[in-house]
Amino acid sequence: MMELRKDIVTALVDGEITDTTLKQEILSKIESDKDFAIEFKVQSLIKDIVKEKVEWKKTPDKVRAKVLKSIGSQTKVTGVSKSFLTDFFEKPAFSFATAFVVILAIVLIILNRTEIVEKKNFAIEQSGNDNMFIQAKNNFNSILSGKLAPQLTSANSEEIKNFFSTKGVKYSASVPNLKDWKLLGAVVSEDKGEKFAHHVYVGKNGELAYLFQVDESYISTHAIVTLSDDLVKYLDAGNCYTSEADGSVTLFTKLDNNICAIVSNGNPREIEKSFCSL
Amino acid sequence: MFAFLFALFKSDEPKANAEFEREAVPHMDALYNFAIKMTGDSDDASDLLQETYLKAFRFWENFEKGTNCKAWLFRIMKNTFINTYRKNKKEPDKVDYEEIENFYENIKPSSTDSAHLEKDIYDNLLDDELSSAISSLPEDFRTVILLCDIEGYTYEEIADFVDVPVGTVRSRLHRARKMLFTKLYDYAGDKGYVNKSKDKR
Repeated sequence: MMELRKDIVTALVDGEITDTTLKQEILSKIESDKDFAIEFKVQSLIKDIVKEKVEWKKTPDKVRAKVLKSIGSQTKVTGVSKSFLTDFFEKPAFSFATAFVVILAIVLIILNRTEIVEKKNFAIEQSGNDNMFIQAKNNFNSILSGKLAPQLTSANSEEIKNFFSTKGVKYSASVPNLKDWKLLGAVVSEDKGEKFAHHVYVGKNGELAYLFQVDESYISTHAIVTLSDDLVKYLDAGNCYTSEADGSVTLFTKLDNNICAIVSNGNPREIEKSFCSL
Repeated sequence: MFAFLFALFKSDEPKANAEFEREAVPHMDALYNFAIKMTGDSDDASDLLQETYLKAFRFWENFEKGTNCKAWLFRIMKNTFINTYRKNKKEPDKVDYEEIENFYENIKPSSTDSAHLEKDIYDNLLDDELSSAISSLPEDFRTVILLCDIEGYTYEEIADFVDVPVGTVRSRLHRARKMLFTKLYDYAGDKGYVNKSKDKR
């Protein structure tokens, strides 16, 4: 019989033990072992206190209104949902001429904003062999040309994460399972004594997506890997950056504390859809 | 340009907005409570809630319809919290768990009959005191307590949410509750509900 760890009583308290034999074994242990009995009581006590005594606050009306206002007046909580534009032009005070001017202004603002977004060309700021953008692109080209092969072939995200951790990657690497993309394998690289996590997905049509991730401290504090400050700030603000060149798309996003570079020969819009909201 | 205007009026936005309103907005209270406990401050919670909904709205087309919208929103909130509220703190919270473990072993009652394990003595704790005890837990531990004991998520759901194995969820919960016990024990002792000097090992 395996020796029971004390945290097994936590699983019992939370109703997570479904195996009746194991459940019985834990209950017997609680009866016969004082330490287990105390752990069981402490865990049950705290769970009950938190469950019963933590007050459920309703979102204050002011906060709710602020949130709804920020996501646009088209989202109304009550009443008949009507689009902003329909509502606006139903008012008799607005003549066709006024409406035309307003539409023109909106169009100009939208076109102008699009231009501003397009001008954010962070790709040209990236240079040097330590640069994450450059490294990601080079690695992807090496994968395509067969020069860089996976050290581990696996479609299992847990197995890949274990591989990263056993191979000495010090930060917590995420290996998300994505709809329409199958995990293919992983590589751990070494630079200046530090280990880095890389993994690859394959799409429905055989297209590849390569993901290279580093903890942001490697860029901001240790400077083992570089990336322009502008791009780091842009990612910190919750944005996703995409750049297309030479038949491939390079995308940068943040996942928890990690900065991720994704390079793919797939459809850029599909890549954005899959990887921008990891 | 006229084609663009036509597209603007013909866009699917109202439909998407209605979907967002139906699927995402009803979870606002749960997210606000999670935000309060994560940030420990109502202004920060309000900002975090707003940022979460803005991102969710922006990426609404990426939400896989029919899946758990609440879990999706929670995940966005957790990432936003990490990126926004921890961005000046490059290293995650470090916990001297050994110290906490020693303290716990020191105050742990010697028997299950101990007054320290009676729920009644903690009934006088104010919500603020309990909230503050939860808020003072390191983030990883606070998250599992909130998701398990308040939101009622299973270990598997929490594991998926925080991206760690189920075994880690169990061990974090175990430790989190022990930490919380030491904090509540202190509160109760300071208020005179229990005698700290008695009933120790």
